[in-house]
Amino acid sequence: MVEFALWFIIILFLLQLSVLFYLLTAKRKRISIEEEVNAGYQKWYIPFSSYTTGSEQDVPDPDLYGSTRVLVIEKILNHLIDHSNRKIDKGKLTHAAHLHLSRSYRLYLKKGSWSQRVNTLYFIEEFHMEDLKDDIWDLFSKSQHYDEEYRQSLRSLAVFGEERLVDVLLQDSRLSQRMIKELLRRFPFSIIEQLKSEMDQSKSRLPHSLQLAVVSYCGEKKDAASLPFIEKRLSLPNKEIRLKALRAIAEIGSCSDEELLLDFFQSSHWEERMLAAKAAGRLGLSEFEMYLNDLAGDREWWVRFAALEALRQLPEGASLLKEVSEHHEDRYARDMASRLLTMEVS
Amino acid sequence: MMNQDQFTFIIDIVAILVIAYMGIVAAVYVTLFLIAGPKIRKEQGLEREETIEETAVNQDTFPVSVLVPAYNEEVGIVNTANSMLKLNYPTHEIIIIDDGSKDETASRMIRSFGMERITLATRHHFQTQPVFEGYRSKEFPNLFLLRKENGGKADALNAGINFSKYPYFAAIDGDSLLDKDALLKTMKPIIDSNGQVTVTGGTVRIANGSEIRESEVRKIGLPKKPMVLLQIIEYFRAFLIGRLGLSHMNMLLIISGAFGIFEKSRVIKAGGYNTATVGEDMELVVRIHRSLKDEKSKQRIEYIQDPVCWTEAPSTYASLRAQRRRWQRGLAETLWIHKAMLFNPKYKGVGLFSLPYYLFVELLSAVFELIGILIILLGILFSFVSIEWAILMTIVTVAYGSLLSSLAVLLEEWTYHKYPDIKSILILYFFALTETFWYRPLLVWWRCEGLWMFLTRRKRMWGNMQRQGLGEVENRS
Repeated sequence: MVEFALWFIIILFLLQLSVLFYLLTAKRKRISIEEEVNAGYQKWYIPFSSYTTGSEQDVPDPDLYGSTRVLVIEKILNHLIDHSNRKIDKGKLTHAAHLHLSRSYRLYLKKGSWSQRVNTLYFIEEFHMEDLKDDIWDLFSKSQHYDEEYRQSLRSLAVFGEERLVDVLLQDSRLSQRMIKELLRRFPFSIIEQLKSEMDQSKSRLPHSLQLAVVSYCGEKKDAASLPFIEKRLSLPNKEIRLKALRAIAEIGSCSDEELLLDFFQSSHWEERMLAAKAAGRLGLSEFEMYLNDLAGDREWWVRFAALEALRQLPEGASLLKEVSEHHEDRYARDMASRLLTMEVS
Repeated sequence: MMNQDQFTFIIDIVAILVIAYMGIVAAVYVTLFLIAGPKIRKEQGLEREETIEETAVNQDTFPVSVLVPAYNEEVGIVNTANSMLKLNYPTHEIIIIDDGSKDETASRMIRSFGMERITLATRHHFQTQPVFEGYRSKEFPNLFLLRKENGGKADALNAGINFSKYPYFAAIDGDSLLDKDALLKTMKPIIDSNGQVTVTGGTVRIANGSEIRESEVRKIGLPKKPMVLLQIIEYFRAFLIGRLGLSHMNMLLIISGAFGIFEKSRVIKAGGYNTATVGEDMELVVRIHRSLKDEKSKQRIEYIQDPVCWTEAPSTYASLRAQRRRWQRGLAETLWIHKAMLFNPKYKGVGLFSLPYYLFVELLSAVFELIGILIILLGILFSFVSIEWAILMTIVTVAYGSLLSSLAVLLEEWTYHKYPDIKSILILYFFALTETFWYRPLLVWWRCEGLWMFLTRRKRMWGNMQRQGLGEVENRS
């Protein structure tokens, strides 16, 4: 027993010594790499900055090697994009990235660790390195998990307008509405139109999140040309799509026929009443003042809040709110109108 | 009367039980390390700033209400509010809830941020002590102050939820500082999972010894006081091994009260914070687990390893004792409230592993360790344990305990590697070796006191310690 305990102690201490040795070695190496990268960054930032802001024509060629070279150039270019006060010539920055980083990045995408691949995908998008598009597609095709690598591959491909993604969007139901919107924001106009036309014509069932995302994206872009496409969705049986369409109309701030909103003021779904109120406020529809007054006493807090906010947005909004705060039959409506009167719009 | 043989026999049995218990606990910790390690290793070197760039500008990023309950926090409240205002997040509101402070918490807020009184019109998801005043900053329209009658931290948080307007809320201690990207990083799992993650928390780290300027941790350093140093190692072990391991299996039962993000509708459905316990943070998370399992929901609770929140650790023995007694009591109360979930297969991993883990490892370990220490000490004194055995057992405990600590330091190096030099690692290693001799016995005793307080149902109170204020941590610890 004693012998066993002694062996156990020896093993534990040996393990601990190994961890300590590893930690000290790794720390020393990390500190040395950081020092090298910082020195390289200090030395080469100005040449790259001069080149990308237009005063210099030749791409700087740092006298660095291996991974340090990649890390330094990556850090400089990333900083120039994110923090430079001067206007960057993005074409030149992309050219420099292609020249110095493409080979290493191709290798990382094929053989790098998970975090190295994900970092590389971010930088490829950031530096707009389109020549690596097919390498990303290869990586994406082999992805098995719906994780950050998969999502960033999609983002990078979307930036390069990769048309093969349309099929992915039409088929992959794992993609969330937010994720699809991230892609839509990166896509060229032609792909958005292609998706809208698929939604109008396709007989097969398209992923629900895709439908929501496209409608929502049109609202976010305040794309008045999409109004017919959006208004068509106000009459669909799916509540969530109707809600997105109502929100999009509020965001765009216009509607071809205001009467389309009328039914929603009395909808049995409080979310529809709330969004109808929001839309009326954004569109400044004074003719709906009576409905908004009614909704100010709605049983749902959010509807009351939206109706009072909408009243405030109408011409004479402040006096309308004062009127509600003094004379509305509902106590909650009066309280909330008073609260809104003490707060400026944020 | 018991003869000496019988006595020795009983002591032997108890000693074997204690040793077997320690062995099982050791195996559990090693298993959790083996679960947490690969995930941390996989993400080592990931450029986290890049991963949140999109979230920072995305209009679809959920807005968040930041709730800061405060009771007699005049020293740190302005710093905390400043730290919240610097958060990098598209849309958030900050609600400071002054829970009937007797000091200048409210007046300092009103003065420092030019706050004006507003009319209150709030929903009442939960009954709370009366909220008698609301203020809004003129300078920062997203900063609010609520003044209410004293009702405890849980009551203050419930009042904050009532007032908040966004679908997610972050609960933050009044003495915490957040990393400027804390909300973005912690909300990321919720956003990426499209709402499947309902609660998230991040790593809380100790700020004592670090350089803090303008409410931000600028340079990480180690404190001088050994008791604070050992708390740092403890936090590494708890967060990087324990919580990450449990989170990986969706069995995490604690999202630190210092910083956590919750889906408001889920919390409302679960009934809000329980005002009858001092462990309101853990109790809420267990109740959420319970409601998720009852509904057969696929939503989950997740923890991220990023260091997002900085807190001031107790730097006096009195405040450390008060904190540990409160934690232990809160844990006991939560386990008692949810005893029906223990070993209940309906609650799957939470009922069959997580709750038993918290009961036997986190709660009762103090009792087992105390028995172990007493057997060794009394055994040597009354000669029923040989000196050789006692020394051997002590060395095993030191070797095992410090190995776990060193593994936690290893995980820290793999994730944040924030300590700037080799010396820091050596210091952490050295103090980890001393833990068994003085720090651990103290904790064991205080935790037993906490358990006793639970059993005797002593009066609850706000768990404030004597604060120095994080802005001054650098010079004081």
